[in-house]
Amino acid sequence: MNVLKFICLVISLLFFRTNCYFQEYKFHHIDRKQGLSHSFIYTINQDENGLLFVGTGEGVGVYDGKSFQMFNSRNRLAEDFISSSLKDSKGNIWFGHKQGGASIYRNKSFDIVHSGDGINSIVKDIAEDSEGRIWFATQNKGLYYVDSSGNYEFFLNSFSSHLIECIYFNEDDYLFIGSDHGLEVYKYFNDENIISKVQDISNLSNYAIVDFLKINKSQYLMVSRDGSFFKLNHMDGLYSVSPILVRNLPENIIVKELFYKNRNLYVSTLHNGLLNVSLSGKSRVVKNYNFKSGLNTNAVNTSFIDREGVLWVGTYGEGLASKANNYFSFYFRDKFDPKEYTHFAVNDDYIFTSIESSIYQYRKHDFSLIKTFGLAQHLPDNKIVSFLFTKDSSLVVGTQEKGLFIKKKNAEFFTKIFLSSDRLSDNIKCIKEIGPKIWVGTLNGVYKVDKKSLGISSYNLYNGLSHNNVGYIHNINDSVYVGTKSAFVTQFVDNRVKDIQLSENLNLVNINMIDSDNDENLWLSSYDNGVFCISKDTILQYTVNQGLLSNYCYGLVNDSNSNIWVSHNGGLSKYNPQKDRFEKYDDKHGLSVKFSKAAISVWGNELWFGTDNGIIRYDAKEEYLNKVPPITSIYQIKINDSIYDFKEQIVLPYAEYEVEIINRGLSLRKPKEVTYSYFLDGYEQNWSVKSLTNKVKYPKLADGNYHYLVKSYNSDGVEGNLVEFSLVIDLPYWKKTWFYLFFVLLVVLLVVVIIKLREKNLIQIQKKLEFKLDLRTKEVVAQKEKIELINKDLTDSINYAKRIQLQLLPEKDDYKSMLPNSFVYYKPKDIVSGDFYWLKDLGKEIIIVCADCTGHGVPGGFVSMIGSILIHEAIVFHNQRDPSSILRDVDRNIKTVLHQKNDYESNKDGMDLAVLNINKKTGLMKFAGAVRPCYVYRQGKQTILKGNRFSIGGFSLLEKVFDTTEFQLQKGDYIYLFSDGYADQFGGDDFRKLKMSGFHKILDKISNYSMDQQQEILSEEFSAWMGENAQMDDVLVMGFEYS
Amino acid sequence: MNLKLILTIAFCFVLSIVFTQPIPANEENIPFLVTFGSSADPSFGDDDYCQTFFFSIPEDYKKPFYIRIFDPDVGGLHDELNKTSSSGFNTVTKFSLYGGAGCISEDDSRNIDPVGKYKSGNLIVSKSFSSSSSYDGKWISLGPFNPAEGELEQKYYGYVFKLIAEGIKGDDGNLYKYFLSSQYNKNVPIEGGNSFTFEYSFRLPNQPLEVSHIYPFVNDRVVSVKQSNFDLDNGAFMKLFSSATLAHSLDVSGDNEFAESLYYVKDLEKGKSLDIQFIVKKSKIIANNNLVFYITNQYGESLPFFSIPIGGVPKYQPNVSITPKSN
Repeated sequence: MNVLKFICLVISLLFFRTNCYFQEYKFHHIDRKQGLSHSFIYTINQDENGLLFVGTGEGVGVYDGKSFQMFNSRNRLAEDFISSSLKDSKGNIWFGHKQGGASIYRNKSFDIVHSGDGINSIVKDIAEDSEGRIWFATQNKGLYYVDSSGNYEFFLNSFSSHLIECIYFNEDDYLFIGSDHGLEVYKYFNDENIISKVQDISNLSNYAIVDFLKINKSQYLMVSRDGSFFKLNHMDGLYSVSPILVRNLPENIIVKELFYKNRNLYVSTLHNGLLNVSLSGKSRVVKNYNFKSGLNTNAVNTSFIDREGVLWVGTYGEGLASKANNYFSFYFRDKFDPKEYTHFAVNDDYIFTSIESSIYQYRKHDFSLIKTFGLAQHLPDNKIVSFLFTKDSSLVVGTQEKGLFIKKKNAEFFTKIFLSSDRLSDNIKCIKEIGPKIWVGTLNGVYKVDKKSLGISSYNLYNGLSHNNVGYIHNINDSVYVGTKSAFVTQFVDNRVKDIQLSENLNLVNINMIDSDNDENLWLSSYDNGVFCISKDTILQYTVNQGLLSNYCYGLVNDSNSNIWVSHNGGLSKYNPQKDRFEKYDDKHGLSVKFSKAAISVWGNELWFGTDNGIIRYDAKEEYLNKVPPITSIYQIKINDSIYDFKEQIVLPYAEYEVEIINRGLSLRKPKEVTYSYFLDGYEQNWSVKSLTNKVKYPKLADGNYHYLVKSYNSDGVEGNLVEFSLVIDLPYWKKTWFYLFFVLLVVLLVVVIIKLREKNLIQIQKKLEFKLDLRTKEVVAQKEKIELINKDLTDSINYAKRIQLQLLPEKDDYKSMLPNSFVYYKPKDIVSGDFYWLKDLGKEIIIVCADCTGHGVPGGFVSMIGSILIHEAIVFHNQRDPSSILRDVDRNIKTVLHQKNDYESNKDGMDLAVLNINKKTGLMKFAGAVRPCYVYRQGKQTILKGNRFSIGGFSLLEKVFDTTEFQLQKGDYIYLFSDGYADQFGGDDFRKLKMSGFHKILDKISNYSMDQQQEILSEEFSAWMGENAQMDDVLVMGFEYS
Repeated sequence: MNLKLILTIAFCFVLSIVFTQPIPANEENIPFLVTFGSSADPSFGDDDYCQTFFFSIPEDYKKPFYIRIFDPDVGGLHDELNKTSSSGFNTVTKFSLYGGAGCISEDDSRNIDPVGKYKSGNLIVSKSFSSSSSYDGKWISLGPFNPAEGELEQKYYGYVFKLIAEGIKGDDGNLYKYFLSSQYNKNVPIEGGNSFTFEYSFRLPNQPLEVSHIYPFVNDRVVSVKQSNFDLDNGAFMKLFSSATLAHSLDVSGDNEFAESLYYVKDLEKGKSLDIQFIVKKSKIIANNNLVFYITNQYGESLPFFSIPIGGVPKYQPNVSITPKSN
């Protein structure tokens, strides 16, 4: 039966070995789909802008994280086939070719350095010396260099018997040449332009040295084609080499190239993939990237770590592969026959893990099976739940139902350790080595096994254990903690037992695993109740509410960075004490498996987890924020469908443009997660929000000065450099200064021309006019003379009429005799006046009339003549004495004389009159006014006697009523009658009427003067008010003092 | 059901034979190529201890390829031990693959004798084999190789690689075969791939009347060809067949000597391959008979023998003229 099982085990192991990959890394494979036209990669380099230069058998592929652009001999490369490359100290990238040619990439373009004519041998390596010369090593045609001036020197036959593989200049300018004859040291003498051999490294002559590199300030490493590693020593002026033992190297390897970065050596091999060799401590292969672990081939030609730490693998025939963040690695996943890995032990070189009833020992770097412990070593056919290697190298194994077993160092078989006769003591839950004892947790309590004597002592419910179902045992110094299926953790210290209650609210907590952190806090994982942290003062419980992935927790471990890891069914939770929060790792990270309880192991930065389908390794070194900023650039500027080179300023003639800008943020780690923010000053107000879109389009840009700025951010939000350029769209010509000046000049010129033309026309017109004027002048002069004659006749006539009119006015002597202290300011507008005054001494009474006839000049003079006669008739012939009667009489008679009827069609000529009748004896003054008033000043105080508002003559809808007002004069009273001519005169500074208010002021002013002075002042005031203006109307002001 | 499975497997096996691309080719009926160690007596059948073969890969073939060598070392069943020496199998054979400029365009590389720059071009890989049981009767692979590392020569239908087998040490004969394969661990022919040599060192079959063939290509510049053979030990007849010639006898060499004969090429034969047949004599059976053979044109230029004959295996076309019967 046992033999049969053993055979089945062997068969299943074979099946298992052939149907799953040992270890898988997530490689990103890049080939023709991304534009890489050739699948044989010979060299990888990166320029200052972050672009990846991949040398292939058909040219250089330039990769920006999304696609390749291929360059070959049609793009200024010497040949299509790229065999080697070098990034020099200036950032230029040099390429060597198959037939000896050389090319360079500088200033964003390729150029031919040497065509290869006359060489016809593959450039195997390129190196730079301290003078900046670039040396090209051909396989069998020696070396040549090109200096900074572009001069060549050839040393083609110096090494004819050797097939050169690699060259290197050290800081002393010694040239190391690796060939199929080992390593030789040369020195280049610039003055004589010769290369002289300084030394053979004698013990390497049987090795083909394929690569030589510097790994730190003073250490150099080289490797032979068959995988022998050597370091260079320098002593007493002589170089020597000593071998380096690299452990875990596969057999019969063929080395193609080395790449070194951050103490990690990458060895490209033809049949064994890429080997990651750690040079820390004992040199050993720590990782092997090959077909089984995720590459598409085992043939790796070259490798490269870029500025962001991304590993690039150039394969031989299967294109390019990259590996960025890969903190989780998967081993032994097999979808057809999954295996549960129940327990772990890990060290630098080996992994021990249990599957079912066997323990397997794997070599860590390539997961080759070294040894198996199982039925053949007398382990029972029962699931192994725990095992450990004791300090004395015994292997102790706990099974699920068959008890505890031990295999002493050098022993061939396991033997069972009898714990108890109780069957439950064979149900092993956990094993822990604490001092000289092995503590064993079972379903029947805790057993302590003495490692030497195998003597047993136990703890159970009866002697202090909180429950017989033990979950896990952990110790901190001398304190041992036992987690059980209860609400307590039992603490053993100095033979004292103490229960620690996890929570008052929980009756049952099923503890699965315990670990402690650096502060000696105790962490416990539980089934259904999350995680507990027991510190000196408090007990904290963490559940999904605090960010845990699940409350069902299995494994728990404190890693080297003090993070607490908890495994669940379907993922992991990591508690970061510095951030005081949990981070989750689930199916997004490929962790959709069920993690085995207690199958967690920590080794340095590595965490190893056993699952129900394979092993998962977490490498803390791989999980870090990408702090390397992306390199921002502008890939393309398209303006109206034409592509423009990027430069600081683009100037365009005036038009409306559609501008499309393609930005590029180079972050090869996660190129698809690069975001951009941009701002077109002059068009937009603010920076755009960050987005994944790298294309910006401005559909309509008119004239103006624009300034474009763009920044990129990597997947972790780290901001890259700012790139900017100016876009100047010229003003239209009509907005330019010269056009303004031109326009002004044109206008001026036009004005001048127009003026000149007008002037010319005017001169002509003037001449015509002058001619006409002369004619007209002669006519006018003739007419003038005629008119003057007429005017003279008229004037003479009017003057005669004036004389007649004046004769109608009272004689000055008569006037003075009747009113001795009086004046008459009489100023006709024209020769004859429409104003007149009438005066009659009737013995007891004196009648005084002041009249203002309609119109002025001759018409006024006529009306005044009629008025004067009618007044005379009314007073003298009709004996009217009462002023109102006089007015009525004159009114009636003038209508008769002028044939005026009461309708609108009759003439309206007439007059305004003021009539005074002064009783000489009594001084009683009777006044009646047709519109005109009478002013009386008594001791400076003015009294106005208003007339009726009806003129004499003309049509009135109302019946004219004239009233006589009596006023008792006193001696010294000044009485004034006047026409409206004085008050209606326009003048003054603002050319307005004087008005009655102004006239009142003048009367108020003159009332203190003598009558002669008053007349004089009235005349002066009137002249002053009128100024240069024409007199508007006839003016009549009469004044007299009653005495 | 089982019968169907067996038939399917058998069919696949037959197919693999039909499409295999071995050197020597199946239709040549040459058991092995042979190269002796540099200390061996030329009378063993190798005049220069060196054999150069060229492989051409079509220009549009962009995948890795492999050159597989059957039994690359000495020792075991297939190799010839110098029984006059007591040192056992001591020959070390070095296989070196060259590509790049000059690989074939260099005149010396096409020379009959390994002199001058016959190792022209870029050395891509070199591997030496001394006696080891691990290689006996097994195929080992060199590669992968990038076709573009060869020398592009349209005259030879693509990228050309040169494989030089040198007996650098010892006095035993190494018998081996090549296969130009697209896979590392299987003999899978490359579509359009071919191989050729300018001097053939091989072993004749041991069976009497068994016929081996070599197919030199005659281009339109060739007026006459001169065949040369070395150390045939008079163990076989040599006949020339072509589309225009039937069984033209050629001179045969004796032990450790050269023999040569001239043949004037007919118009019908130009641009085609000739068929040189080696018919093992029934009357004089020479066991393990190794020989060297090459052929040159009127300028003394060696002509290539293609493993897949250019224009196919020549078939004699008798010139039959029909004249009307006179009354």
